[in-house]
Amino acid sequence: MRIRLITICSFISLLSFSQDHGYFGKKNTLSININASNPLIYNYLNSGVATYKASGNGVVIGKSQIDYGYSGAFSHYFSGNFGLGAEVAATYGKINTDDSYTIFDPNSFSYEYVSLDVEQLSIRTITIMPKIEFNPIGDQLPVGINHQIGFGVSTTKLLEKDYKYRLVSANNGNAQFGTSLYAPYQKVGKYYNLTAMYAFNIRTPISKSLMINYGLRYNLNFALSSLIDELGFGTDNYNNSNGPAMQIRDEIRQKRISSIMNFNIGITYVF
Amino acid sequence: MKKLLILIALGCFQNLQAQVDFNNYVTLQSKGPIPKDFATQTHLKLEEDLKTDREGLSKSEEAKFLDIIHYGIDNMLHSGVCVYGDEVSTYVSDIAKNLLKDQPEVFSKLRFYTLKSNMANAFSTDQGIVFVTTGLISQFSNEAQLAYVLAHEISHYTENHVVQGFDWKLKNRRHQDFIDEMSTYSKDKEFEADKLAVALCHKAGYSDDELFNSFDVLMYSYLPFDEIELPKNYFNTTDFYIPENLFPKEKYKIKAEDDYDDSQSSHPNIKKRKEAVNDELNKFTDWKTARFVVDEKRFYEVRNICRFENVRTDVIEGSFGNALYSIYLLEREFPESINLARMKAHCWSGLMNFKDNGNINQAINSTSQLEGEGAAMHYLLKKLDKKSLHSLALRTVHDAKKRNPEDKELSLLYDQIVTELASNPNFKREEYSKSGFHQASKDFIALQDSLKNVDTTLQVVAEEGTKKTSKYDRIKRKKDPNVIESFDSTNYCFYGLYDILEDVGFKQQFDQEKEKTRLEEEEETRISKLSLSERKKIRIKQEKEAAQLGIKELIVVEPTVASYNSLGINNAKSEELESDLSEAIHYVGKEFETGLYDINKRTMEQGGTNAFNERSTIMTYLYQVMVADNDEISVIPVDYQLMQDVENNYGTTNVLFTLVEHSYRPRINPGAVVGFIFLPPVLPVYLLNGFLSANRTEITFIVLDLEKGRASYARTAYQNTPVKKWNLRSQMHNFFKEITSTPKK
Repeated sequence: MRIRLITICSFISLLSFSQDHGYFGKKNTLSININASNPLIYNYLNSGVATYKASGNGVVIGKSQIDYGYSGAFSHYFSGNFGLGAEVAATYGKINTDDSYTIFDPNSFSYEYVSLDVEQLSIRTITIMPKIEFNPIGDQLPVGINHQIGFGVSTTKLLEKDYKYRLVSANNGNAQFGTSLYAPYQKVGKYYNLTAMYAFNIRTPISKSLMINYGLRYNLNFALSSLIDELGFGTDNYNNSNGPAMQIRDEIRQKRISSIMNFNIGITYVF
Repeated sequence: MKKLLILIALGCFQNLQAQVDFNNYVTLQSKGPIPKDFATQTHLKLEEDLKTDREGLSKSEEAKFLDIIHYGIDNMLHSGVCVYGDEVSTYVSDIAKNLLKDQPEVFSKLRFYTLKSNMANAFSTDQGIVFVTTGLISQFSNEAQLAYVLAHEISHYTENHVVQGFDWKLKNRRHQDFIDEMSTYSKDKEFEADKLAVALCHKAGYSDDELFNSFDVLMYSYLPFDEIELPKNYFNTTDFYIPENLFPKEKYKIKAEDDYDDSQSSHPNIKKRKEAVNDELNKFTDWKTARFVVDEKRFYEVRNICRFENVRTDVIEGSFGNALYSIYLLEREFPESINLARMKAHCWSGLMNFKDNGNINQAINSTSQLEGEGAAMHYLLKKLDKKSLHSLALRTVHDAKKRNPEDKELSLLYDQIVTELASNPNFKREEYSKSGFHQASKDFIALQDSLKNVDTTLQVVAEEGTKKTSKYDRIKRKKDPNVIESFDSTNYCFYGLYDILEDVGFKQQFDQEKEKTRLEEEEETRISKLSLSERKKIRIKQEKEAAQLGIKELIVVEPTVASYNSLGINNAKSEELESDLSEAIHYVGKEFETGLYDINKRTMEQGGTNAFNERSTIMTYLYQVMVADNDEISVIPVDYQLMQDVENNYGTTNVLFTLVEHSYRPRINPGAVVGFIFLPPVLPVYLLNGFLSANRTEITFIVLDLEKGRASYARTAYQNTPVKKWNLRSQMHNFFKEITSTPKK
């Protein structure tokens, strides 16, 4: 019996109808995912820089080991192999800031060198991305393995909050802690970049309408130089008032470029 | 008095049981209560058997052995070709009972089943099942020969040869190979079984000469069951003629020899076996002379059953050359058999299909295989061109239908031939002569003779007349079979069909079909003139509508899963997944309010023998459709009557077959992994893809329409996911959605 049925494969080449596709015939999905990654490359690139994280009312040496985020996506499947979709994602991460000041005391006509040790700054990246989904092998989309390729725009901004810091005088080693430092970074503004994405995703159904999905995704981020110029951050000038903001934009840029890979897991509703 | 009545009643019952109407023969059917071997699920048998220790096998070897043996045997039991409780099996069992009359405890452990297979073989299993093929029994001359082969197989069982000779490579062989392997032992074990069989037959009172002759049966069993010359006028009728030059001029030699080189074979050659048996025979001096001990009449009847089954099997397998020769052999004894007429009609219809599709070689033996008298049939079929084959098929099936006007099966087969001719652009009614071959030949000779006697003056006048006709008129006249002087014996196929071609019924049907073909062609031409996108739209619409069958009820036959691992089929997992597949079908069937009727081995116990027979009938039909390999034609079931019973029983003509094949083969290239040291971020996806996309699942759906005689729906869905409940349900949903819907008007 089994053997006989197996030979059907050659026979059925005669008759092959285009079967309705989709999961239980449903061709649209809404997904909610959380994603996480270790900023391995960013941390590696900044391995020579002292980084700080908040501790109590002050900061201690340390760095964030995880970037995280969430995303929502909609997809429509035109066949069992191909679909189009769009997603909106928010990712949270940390960047370094390394700053020092020279303070001139007009009374004593002396300079005091102060090191500003700020906890890693929080950034949030919002990405809007149309994408295609495909699976060259098999015709079961949205179920199972799917490859996604997307190209979109990301905007990153520094989160407004009171960052903890300490000021350390290089002259006498005195340290002063603070818990509300944001004002110097207000000028950072938004950082835009283009994002190209490839994701390897797997969806496993758990009911007639729900699936668990998980996978890996790679991002390539490209700076939008025209926007940078337009915002007037094109000059390398540490002495002007934009100095700290400029430095932070560089950090954001580096962070974005080095955020290559993340893992995501979520749930998909099929309708 | 009461006892006498009982005896009379029993006698009548036995007579009734023994009488088989070969004129209206219906294929062997299982009878009586369904045996445990057929009703118990394989994993339960395995679990039960694992409780018993087998000598010489470790626990793991035993598990492997039982897995292979049980699943292999169960596949065969449920293959649709195995029968129990039938006339053949009971007769074989009675012979075995007589052989083992001194060992009733051995007999009580044995079960005897018949395989409808043209392979001449018998084999026993470790579990005590003895299979005998109809192909083997059809070859025997008497009961003693059958008894010897049975005794041989019983000895393999009693001496535990199956376990000892177990071939670990058995797994995943096709079931024919499985039969081969199951009947293959070492040379020592064959000699041992031969010797023990001699002792058993001696005790049972059989003739020693016949035991010796059994080896001739085995040696020539690849030939048809008899060697009788095919008369050169076999196909001729009063009006129809097949020239003698289409038959072989010389006989084809039979090549088999008993002293073949057996160095590469597991079996000793026949000569050696004969010698060894001869020594054994000589050890006994008090041989009896019985060729029949149990029942001579039953033997001949059972042998005829097997011969009729041989024909049926050949028809199913598309071996039409063999089938036609066997039909010829059986017609000598049963000239009025309607079964043989039907089988013959199946053959000609099938041959037309194969010939028109250029695969006639599937139906006949190759030149190197031609041996003995049966070769003439194959030779002739090879020689017949398309038109000749069409004519012969039409003549034969028409005549069979004429003799049996009430027979629906013959009518359908005839209709099929007419339909095929009507759709064949090369078949032109006007090409055929209005007279029979012999009449045309006589008229031609008479004309020639009369021309010889005509005086020269008249000939000159005739020539003058010829000058007045054009070259083209003369060509047309030469080609016209109705012009006496145009008679050409090589155009034999154009003569002797006039009565059919002028028949009102034929004309009406032919013209209707022709018109249908014309309209289809017109539509095709119209579509071909459209733009690419329009053609694509139409194709998609047509495909969609073709799949919308509006089905309300389905007979669900044996949802099957084949899950492969690196060693081959994982039987236990496959069986487990089959339950999931079955569940998925029912889950979705309920959603679409489709009436589902199960016929499968899991429900065999509840369904009983009736369900088992129905399942076998449907399985056989599926196989027949697959062999025909042509969705353009209707395949009339070889068991047409039984199929009608199935349709009437379930009230639907739609049968669903599903097969899920799953394999897992990770594709990780170690070289690539090393290479990714230089591109580390790619490695995780490479590994994930390598491991996770290694699942290959193919889900095949076939809906066989018993009424139309073809698959009305067939599709395979591919997935690179494991076989999971929801995946199966989703695929089933999409499938049911299509077949239960109806095209929009």
